Amino acid sequence: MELFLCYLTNGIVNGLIYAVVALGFTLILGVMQVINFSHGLLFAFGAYFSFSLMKYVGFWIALPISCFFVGVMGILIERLAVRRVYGKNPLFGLLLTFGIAMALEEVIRMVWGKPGHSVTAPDFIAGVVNLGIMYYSKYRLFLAGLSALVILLVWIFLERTPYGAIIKAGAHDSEMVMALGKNLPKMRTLVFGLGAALAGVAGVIAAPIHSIRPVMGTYVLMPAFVIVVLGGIGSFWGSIIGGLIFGISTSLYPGRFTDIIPYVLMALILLWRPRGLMGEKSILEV
Amino acid sequence: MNSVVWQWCRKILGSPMFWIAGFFAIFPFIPYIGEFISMGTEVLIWCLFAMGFNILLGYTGLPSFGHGAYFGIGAYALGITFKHLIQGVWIPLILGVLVGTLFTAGVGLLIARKRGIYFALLTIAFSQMFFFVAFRWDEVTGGETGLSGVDRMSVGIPSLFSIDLSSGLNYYYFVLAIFAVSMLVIWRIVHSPFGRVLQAIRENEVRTKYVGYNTTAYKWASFTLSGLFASLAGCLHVLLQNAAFPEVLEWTKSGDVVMMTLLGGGMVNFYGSILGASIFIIFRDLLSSFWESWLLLYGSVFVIIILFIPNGILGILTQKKGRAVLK
Amino acid sequence: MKKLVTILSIVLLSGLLWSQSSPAEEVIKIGVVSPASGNYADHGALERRGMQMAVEELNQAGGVLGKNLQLVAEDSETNPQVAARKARRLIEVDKVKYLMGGVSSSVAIAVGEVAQRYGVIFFATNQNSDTVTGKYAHRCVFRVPPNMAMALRALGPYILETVGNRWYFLTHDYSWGWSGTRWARNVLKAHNGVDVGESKVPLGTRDFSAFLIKARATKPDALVITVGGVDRAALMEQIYEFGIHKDMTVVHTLYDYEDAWAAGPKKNVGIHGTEWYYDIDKPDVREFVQKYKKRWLGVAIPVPTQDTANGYLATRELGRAIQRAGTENVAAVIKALEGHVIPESESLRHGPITIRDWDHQFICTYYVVRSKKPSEIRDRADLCEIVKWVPGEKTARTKAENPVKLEPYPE
Repeated sequence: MELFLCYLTNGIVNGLIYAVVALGFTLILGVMQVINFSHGLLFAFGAYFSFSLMKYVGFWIALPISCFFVGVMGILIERLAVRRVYGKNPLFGLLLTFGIAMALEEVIRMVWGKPGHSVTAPDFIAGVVNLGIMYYSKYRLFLAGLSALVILLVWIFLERTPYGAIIKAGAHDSEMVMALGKNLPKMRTLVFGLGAALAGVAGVIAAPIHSIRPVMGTYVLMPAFVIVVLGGIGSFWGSIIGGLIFGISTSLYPGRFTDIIPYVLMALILLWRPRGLMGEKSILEV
Repeated sequence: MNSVVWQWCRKILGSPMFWIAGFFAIFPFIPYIGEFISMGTEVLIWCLFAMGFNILLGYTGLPSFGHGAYFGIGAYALGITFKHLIQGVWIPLILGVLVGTLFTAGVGLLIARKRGIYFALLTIAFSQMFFFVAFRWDEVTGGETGLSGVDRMSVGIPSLFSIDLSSGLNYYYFVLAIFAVSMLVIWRIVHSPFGRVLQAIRENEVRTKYVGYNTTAYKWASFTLSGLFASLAGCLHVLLQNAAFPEVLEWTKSGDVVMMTLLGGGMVNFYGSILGASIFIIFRDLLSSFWESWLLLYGSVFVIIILFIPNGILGILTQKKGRAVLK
Repeated sequence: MKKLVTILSIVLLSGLLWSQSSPAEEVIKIGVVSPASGNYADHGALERRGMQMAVEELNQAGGVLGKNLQLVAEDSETNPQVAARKARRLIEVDKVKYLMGGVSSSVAIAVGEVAQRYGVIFFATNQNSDTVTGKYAHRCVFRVPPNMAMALRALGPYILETVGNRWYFLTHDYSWGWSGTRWARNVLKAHNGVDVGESKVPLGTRDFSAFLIKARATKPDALVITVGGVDRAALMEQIYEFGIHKDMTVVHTLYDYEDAWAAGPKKNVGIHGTEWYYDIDKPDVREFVQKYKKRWLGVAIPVPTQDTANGYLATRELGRAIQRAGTENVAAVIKALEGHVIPESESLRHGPITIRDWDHQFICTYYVVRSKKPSEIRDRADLCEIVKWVPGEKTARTKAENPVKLEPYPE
């Protein structure tokens, strides 16, 4: 029982960070209908930026700056390349971002070198805390809190600001939004930047528990896929619930075939609800 | 009488299929380059894979990004049959293709209703699932180490003749024969009434449905057929390298076949996927031996192709700009 | 229509002609299949540096059989499938008779299979699975680094003496990890130690918190870890994060310098087994380290690692074996290598190295190192201190333990 509670806590904490990554992924997917394969690389860039910045300014300043840089990268990627494939077969967006991801991975190797790097969490959240049932890492609890905060901020942005309303409307019917005089291309750029920044923030806060490597992005990219399919494309709550399901289901029984559980769940859920848990009938499918 | 024969000859000579098969047939005898038999075999196998894949992508318009999985399942099925059940060429080969096709058909049942982005996402997710199984299930698949020691035996009719496939040249011609037959079969499929329906689905699925076709069934059939050729290619590939490895199932490798099809212009021309696969296999390796940071160039080439020549090489050459197959 | 065929042939012809390498000068080519991308790109870069150093040295000294050596490097992408293809290409296109490289056992096994079928020599330079010189041993394959049997028989007794006899195992859940824990258990059993539990870690795991919580609950003296690669790098971060090193001694059965370097002085904790360390106090090692620093100024890791040393040794010994054989013939070179002893003066470690003739394993010394505390280190590269070394003759598998039978010599 104690062990079960440990695993559950662990699953929720992991789930929250997956949810942040999946949220950025699903925003881009839902609004622009682009499967962003470079999402994992943006995650890695978040970690690398924070590694470089932390030497000079410390964790708290490095966090927003790295996040901002990754957002800018996202905006550049959208402006220079991705916007040319809007409305085309999804394969183009997919291959395009795949190509970008490969090129960026090599950029990381050229700038930061092939060996891995490591960053350390600030002192006051280092070490362990006694939760009664177990000793747990303080940093993970902090990480869970921060992820929840980021999720809350995104929710406020989408639900309580006029921009959020335009974004949601744009995802639903882009022509109508343009007809109403809103600047849709600009909005799309903004959404891509936001999605990228979410990947970046996840990268920064995950950096102290993962070794920083050029290949670290693949670790979150595949979960993001499954979470989005599980939760429903473009659904805010879908990616949160999907993230938690993914986190918990992979933490409860650590073993060789654990990683397959979310995929099996995904297949089952699709049989039961073809659009995912929270998915609504959208313009993306007939 | 004479004119009938003449017409047949003209028909055969006028078909690129004849020339492609012919080119590959004399390839081993071309001075200098003819020695690279295993690379020639590899090119043929990937051409076969890309051609089959193109039934789904180019003709049905369904974007699968996880076809490496069916290539891999065929490969493992052959390898496991060979190592644990029965040694030989034909029975493991047939079983391999059968198992690969069955898996494709099963996944197809789950995803045939989808299209567009949803379809792509699901194919990736399923390929990743199969990858995990192959990667982790050491007892059956050999796990990370893969299955090795899959020998190429002899084929033939007992006491009449027998061809020893362990020779690279013999195996090359064995693959070429399968390739040529498959090319013919795929050509027939996509030019049959069935193939027309697939193209109709590509152009407008809703309208095709209203005309009275069960589009889901057609999409499923197209997916399964492409899986059949994928697993056939996978089987031939295992025999080529005498081993099966889990990496082919991974999503990063599934991108290769998509890129081959796109690069050659498989979207606008039946032969595009063959051209694309040939170029891809040869130049990718050259690129990676040319510079240590080749991945940067490789990724950039992807970007350039998608942005500037989305219809592929044959798309430019045949100048069918007005007819962009994929919206 | 015919345009299509023309294009196809032009493309194929030009591609293949281009790939035909430089005009036939008198060189001996060595094909290198080594990762420049993928999970082990860092290890690949380091082993290639060692090979390059050996080639330059041999060429300066007049070459081999009067010819210069030349490395032809291909990226294995840390992927056995790609590696096998590149190996075939090197053999067919570049006509190499000697291959080396292969970080990760799966790549080595794949390339080894190709090498055996084509009858060329392959030096497996950096992987430690028992199977490379066991189940998948071939006449044409030589393996430079020690295997897990040698590692644990050297490391295990030291841990029992100095740390304690309650061990918890973290095992990478595939053949290499299994063999590490199996040999560790053998040692533990022979000394009446207590096996308090084991967690099998799936390949590709990045979150170890569940395993670490479980391990801590059993209160072991030592956490014996046979987990490798990128997974290990994440594990080291999380051991530090959960403060595991404060409750028990962290023991990596096979410590790679690259991972220690990446983790940095703070997260580098425990007592470990390792193949090689740049601070071995011997004149030939000191000279080698100096040469490395001079030759590779400004590279990410400023000192040679076990990968560099292995790459260097493999290349040098191959060159010398060709010289001894007096011919480039593969069978003759294999015979020149089998049973050869590299004297202590140039083995780059304590004791000589024997190339065993019946399984082609390099029998060499294995080291036990202690991670230095941040307060003890001289510079960023100074991470460990050697506390013990054990000659390979005492630890390597005997013929009874490893009944391999190599194929006949290639023609």
